[in-house]
Amino acid sequence: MCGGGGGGDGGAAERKAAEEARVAAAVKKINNVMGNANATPDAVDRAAFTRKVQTGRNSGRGSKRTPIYQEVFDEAAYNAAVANAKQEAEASRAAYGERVKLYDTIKTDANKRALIDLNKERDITERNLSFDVARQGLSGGSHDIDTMRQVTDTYQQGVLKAAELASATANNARAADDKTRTGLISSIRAGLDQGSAQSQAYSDMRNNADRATADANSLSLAGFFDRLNNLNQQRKYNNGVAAGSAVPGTTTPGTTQPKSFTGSGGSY
Amino acid sequence: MCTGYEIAALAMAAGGTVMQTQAAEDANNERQAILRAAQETESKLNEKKAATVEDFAQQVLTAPQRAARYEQAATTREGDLTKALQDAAGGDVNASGYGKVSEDYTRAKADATASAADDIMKRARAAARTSAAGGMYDEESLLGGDLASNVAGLTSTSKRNARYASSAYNGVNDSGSLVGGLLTGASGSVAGMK
Repeated sequence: MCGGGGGGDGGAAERKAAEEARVAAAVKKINNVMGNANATPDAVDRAAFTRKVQTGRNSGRGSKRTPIYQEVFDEAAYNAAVANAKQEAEASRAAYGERVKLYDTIKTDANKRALIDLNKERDITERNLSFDVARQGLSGGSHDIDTMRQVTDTYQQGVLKAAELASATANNARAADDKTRTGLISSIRAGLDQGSAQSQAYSDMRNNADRATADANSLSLAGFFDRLNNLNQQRKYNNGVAAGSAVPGTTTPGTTQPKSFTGSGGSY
Repeated sequence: MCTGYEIAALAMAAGGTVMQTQAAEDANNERQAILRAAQETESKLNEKKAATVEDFAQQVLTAPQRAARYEQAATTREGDLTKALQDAAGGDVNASGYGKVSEDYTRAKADATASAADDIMKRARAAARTSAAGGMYDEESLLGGDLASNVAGLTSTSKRNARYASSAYNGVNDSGSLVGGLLTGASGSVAGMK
């Protein structure tokens, strides 16, 4: 009637150890599935591979003949455990490598989409400016070259912008996934009474979808050549004023300025 | 020398004390058993939750599954956008030539229409692919909702168990103690009898 003697806790310690082992295994599994770029091998405790072996007894009589123990280190098992830990870390890094392929795909797709607008607008701007240059009788001259250099310069700025947008989109996806990974791990580690830790992980997953949709909508580079086109428009207007001719769309020369445009390439 | 009453009183007092001790020990054991059972249930629920989340990751978040989900979302979206274009009228280029026009004009107009169609299809494809990440996360979020629901179910079970255990713990009846106490108390009266 002593309620489990000998320091008995009714198996609570064993249950706790089993639960912690189960939780650790689940966390490891999450890391292996989603991958971890910085995964390092788990430390292997050498002491766990050392056991005492009785090698004999002390000389003497009766109680003096106590057993003699020697510590034996199981090197093969230890090495196997170390190799296994290394293998698991490598598997986690490899899984991350696989995950990175998805981000590369996201980046490539985002870049392609941004470039569609840019390429189209480059074609249109180039054609319009070529006509203008020809109309002025300046084809083949320095003005022609200078105008086309501006087109190329604007286009290259657009290419950089497209690459930046694509990288940001891929990075957002990567960050979202890492947040999911750590959220799930927190959810596993949290006790069932910690409801907020549970729900946070799942609401973060909902946010991932919203964020990715917003990113997709921000990829357009439509209007990137507006600034260059507007400068050309302004120049034509100035030429018209200087020549005393009516500005298209106005009745009295020089009384109405063309509209000020605002595009992604800037405004004036 | 003890009288008969005194001997009886001593016996009653000793019996009462034994009964009280025994009853208290039994109640304590019963309470311990309730606590152990509650802890065991909670441990199992926590392990089940870990397994549930682990299964979710294994079934939803591996790289090949996500790549497939991304491509599937892109294909579905492309189909939607293409259908919207096909269903919409006004895809032809409206040039302003009237009456009898040259063959070159007709050909150029047809080419322009084809080029515009090709252009918008490229855009649709690109838009579909860039929205694929959103589609992929959307589906994962829906599956995550199932997971959240399953974990919430385990949480509810845990809370119910805790309430049940608390109620059972507080309800352990220590009636033997009362009887023992009465017996011990009565022994004083018996000893006083002459």
